[in-house]
Amino acid sequence: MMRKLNVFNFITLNGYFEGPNHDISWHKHGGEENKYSDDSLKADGILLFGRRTYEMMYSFWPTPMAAEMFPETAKGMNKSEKIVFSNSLKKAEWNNTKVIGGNIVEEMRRLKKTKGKDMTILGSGSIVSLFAEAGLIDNFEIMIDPIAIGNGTPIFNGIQHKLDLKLTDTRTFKSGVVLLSYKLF
Amino acid sequence: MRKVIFAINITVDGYADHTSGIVDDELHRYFTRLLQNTDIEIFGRNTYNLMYPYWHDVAMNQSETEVTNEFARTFDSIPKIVFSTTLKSVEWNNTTLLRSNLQEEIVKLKQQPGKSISIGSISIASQLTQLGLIDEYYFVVHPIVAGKGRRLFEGWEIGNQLELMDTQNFKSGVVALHYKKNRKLNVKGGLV
Repeated sequence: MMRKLNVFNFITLNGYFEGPNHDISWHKHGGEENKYSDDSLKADGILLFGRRTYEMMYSFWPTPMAAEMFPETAKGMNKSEKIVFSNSLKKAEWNNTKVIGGNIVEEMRRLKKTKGKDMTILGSGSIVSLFAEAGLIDNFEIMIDPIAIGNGTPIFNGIQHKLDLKLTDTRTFKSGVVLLSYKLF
Repeated sequence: MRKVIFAINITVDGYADHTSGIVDDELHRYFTRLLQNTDIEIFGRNTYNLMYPYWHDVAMNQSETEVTNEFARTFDSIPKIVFSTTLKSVEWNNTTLLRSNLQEEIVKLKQQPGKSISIGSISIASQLTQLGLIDEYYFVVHPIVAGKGRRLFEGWEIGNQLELMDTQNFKSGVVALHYKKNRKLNVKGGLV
């Protein structure tokens, strides 16, 4: 059984995962959504990021503020095994984090063939597009916030081929957020 | 008072492209049911040209599956208003062509008794959203990443005002998300 590559992202109804200047302040982080993140982290997979998402996460999760605001999530994030895909970053300072550069599609193909934990990409629009285009993503967890924003960066931006997905689960949150889970058809 | 509704097929990545969805009986049945609670359909020129003569012909010739034919008959029979400054005339039965005053027309129609008013065009739905005039939204999400097409509400916003009413899963993997507007829009110059 090959290890799985999963994507988790939250988006607006019109498909943006971030607004101008990487704004994600529109996303609802209610109690239920946080519990969902915490439960996902307990599955003890490997977390994957692009460099920009990595830097954003690293600037927050190891801080005392994060420990106070989201104790469970912060513990999970800091403890989890992490990979950041980057050619410019030489070394990652965050606990338990490895840097992979070079041809990251080939690196991922190779990685998926090795034994090990399942992997989940958080945020990281450009590597999501890259891996999706290469057909390397097995499961898609898409959280849709009940809003639309005028512009920003669309999820799967720049993808050249249509992807057909198979719905595996849906879940609704009290906030009006809907989680749609798919696998590659 | 009448409700104004907007129902639209979209992909997971937020495109509202009519060419990339999964069209089957279950989807047609869903839209037929929405139309059965509607007694005015509002279009712009583009949507009008997409819908006519195609659906009128299906309604007349009954040339598709039973479910699709029923959708076509229901759609064909509903009174329609087309807002366009460039169309010379409209041929479809029960159809009125208007040149301007979208906001006033919708406000006037809302105050009349009757079934729902359904918006069948993204650009009109965007304008009416900004004016706070749409009461309920049906986003019908297809299990597809399209990667291109026309983005839903490009350049327009819906702020923090939608309440999730229900969701419905189809066998095809399509998920219909039904929202109600629960707070007044706070848009400068808009009608609330």
